[in-house]
Amino acid sequence: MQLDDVVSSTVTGPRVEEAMYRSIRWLDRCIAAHQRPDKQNLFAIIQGGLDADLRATCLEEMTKRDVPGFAIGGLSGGESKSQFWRMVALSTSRLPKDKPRYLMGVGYVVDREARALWEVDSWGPPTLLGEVAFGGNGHRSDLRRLGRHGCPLGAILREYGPVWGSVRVGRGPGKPLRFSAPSRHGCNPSYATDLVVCVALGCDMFDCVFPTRTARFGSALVPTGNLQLRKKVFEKDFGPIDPECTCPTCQKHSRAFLHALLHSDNTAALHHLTVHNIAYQLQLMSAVRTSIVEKRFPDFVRDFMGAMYGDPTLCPTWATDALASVGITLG
Amino acid sequence: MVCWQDLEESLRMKLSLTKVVNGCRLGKIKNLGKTGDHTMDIPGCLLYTKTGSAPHLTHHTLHNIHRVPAMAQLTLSSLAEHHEVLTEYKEGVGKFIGMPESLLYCSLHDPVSPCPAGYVTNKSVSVWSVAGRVEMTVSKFMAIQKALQPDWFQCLSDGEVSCKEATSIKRVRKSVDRSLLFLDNCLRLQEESEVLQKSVIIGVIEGGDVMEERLRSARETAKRPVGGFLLDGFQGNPTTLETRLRLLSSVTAELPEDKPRLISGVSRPDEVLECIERGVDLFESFFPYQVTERGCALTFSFDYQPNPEETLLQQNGTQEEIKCMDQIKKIETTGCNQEITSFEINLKEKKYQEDFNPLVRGCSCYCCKNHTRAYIHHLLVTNELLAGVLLMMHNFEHYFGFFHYIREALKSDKLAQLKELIHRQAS
Repeated sequence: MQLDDVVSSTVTGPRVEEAMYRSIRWLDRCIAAHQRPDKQNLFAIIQGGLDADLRATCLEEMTKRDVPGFAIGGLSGGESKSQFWRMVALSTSRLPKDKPRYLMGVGYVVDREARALWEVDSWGPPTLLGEVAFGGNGHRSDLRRLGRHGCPLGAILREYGPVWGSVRVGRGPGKPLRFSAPSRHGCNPSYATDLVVCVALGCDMFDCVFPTRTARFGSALVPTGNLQLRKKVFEKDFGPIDPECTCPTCQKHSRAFLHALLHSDNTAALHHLTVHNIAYQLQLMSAVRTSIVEKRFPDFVRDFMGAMYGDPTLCPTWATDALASVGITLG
Repeated sequence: MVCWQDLEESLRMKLSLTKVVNGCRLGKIKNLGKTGDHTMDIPGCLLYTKTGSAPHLTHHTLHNIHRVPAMAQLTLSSLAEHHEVLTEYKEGVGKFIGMPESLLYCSLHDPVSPCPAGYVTNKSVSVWSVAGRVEMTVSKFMAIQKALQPDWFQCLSDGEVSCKEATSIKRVRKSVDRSLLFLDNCLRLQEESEVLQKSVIIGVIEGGDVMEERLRSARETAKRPVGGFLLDGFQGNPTTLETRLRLLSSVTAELPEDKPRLISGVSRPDEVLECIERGVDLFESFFPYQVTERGCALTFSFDYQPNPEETLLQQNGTQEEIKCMDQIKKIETTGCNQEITSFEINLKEKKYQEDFNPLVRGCSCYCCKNHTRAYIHHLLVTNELLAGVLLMMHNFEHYFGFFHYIREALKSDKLAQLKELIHRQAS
């Protein structure tokens, strides 16, 4: 991917325009500097934020350059889904049909109200203790100071953004550090919906941290949404995550065992769920492709929405609108 | 005419010794497990698990490791809190954790986490889980074992003497008395249950550092129909073990030859060899786990007859490591303050940033065949979970390889060479 100047989709004003034009200039500089075009594919990244005019300008300019593929950038920040799909649709409608369209970052929900309470031990991954309602001032300086005690604060700050809120520090070696952070990773039931809708809108490739990150939080993806396996309801559930799934986790393990393992400090639990969530995603996209090849994609979408929301007509408004714009009606 | 008792006798496990060299027992335990068709080599080790799973490893990654022991160790401290679930599950912990084909040994405590003292009474023993303290009377203990259905389990015992310093002889005596009483009660309950009869009870030898009590515990426990013996209370640091080695020899001398001897809390390579020489058969494999948790990789050599070029390379390597070990580093790890031993390298050190060698040259593990020290260093620096997975794979494989070489050395009468090699590498 080219080096681009990307701003958060919630930013408005001249900064968005500046970033868009700069991205075009940097694209040209990348193309000029690229020494191995026969070995590596340089993709352009369409910017312009949520401004239709700016995005259209960016599309017009970047498609003049002969690059092997295009990425749709600057989305999946904090924008509403309604704005999101319109920008995706605008982008795909103006991108060449014979080159891949890669939507960068899908299914990422920013929930400003909830805050996540974390705990971290030594060099292991932070454990999400739960969602809490928080207000109040931060003790950021405490956290920076504590960062020197060897806990992976740097990694956390990079991944989760600014960390603030009240902090309780354990005394003595090996005691966990607790802090809260804005809950940038919500439980997002619409992750798979985003994928299916954006395929309908003309996207070819996607990336997202969501399936693996949600796995590390103890959440398994299933056709009906997700299972928060840490919850007590799964304590004695002796079936697999998904009886139809062929992944190693579902072949060998029950929800009850994974529940117990998630409450231990053995990271194997996280790996089991990661494997399953990746398998889920691969299976979903494979099913999408098969339905397209067999000329029944609209039916696939209706079935998918039925499984996810109980009835195709119950799927979120933005998704209904987006699908309608490409001629797919639900129910 | 077939006699049921004879049949039962033939189904039960059999320990056969191939040879005994310098106190070391080499042999096999046959007819193990519910189906009676598993075999274990001794001396050997058990696969260390946490809540029924090898640390960091899924079933699939575990099976990429060579020479995984036939028997895995489960701990009551991680499983007792799931008693209700396992009772409802009915089919035993082996199936529950996804290891139906493995032999299972259930110990009381987790050898890595120290037990807080002061919680054993005449009627109950407590284990410590994530959820807190779980107190067990004999009947609750046996009810839990009934739900777990392990192949072997450590009998309920009073092992607190090793948790405290300077215990009175009265307290030591009590630990022996209590453990025998618990054993007799557990055996009685086992007689009343068909399910429990399918599991083998391992008698626990207590007695602290008092020779008289150790001998009493050994002799009395040996009188009971247990399937094997657990030597408890020898855990600690290398110095404390040294002082207890004489006790260990005297204890094993009192035990029948045809039953396996396990030891708890001893896992370091040098300590393992000392204990094997004093009649111990089976060990826990938590040492490679501790090494993994401090971001280190086992690199000690156990090939007691490498080719001459290899010897030279290794000698040079060892000298370098010894220079770096002049200052013993203390690394804060989860739950314990463990020192880095001279059997390992610390991949967090900056010097590995551009070291594109495998962890150990010639190692056949997945990590050494596919990755470099530099990559592991990078994973540790960026706090990636994969660091733990790869290090655990290597450390387990290295450790299981060590045990294989112990058996080979005993077979070909080369134990002295192996011992000298290990001793040279112990700081």
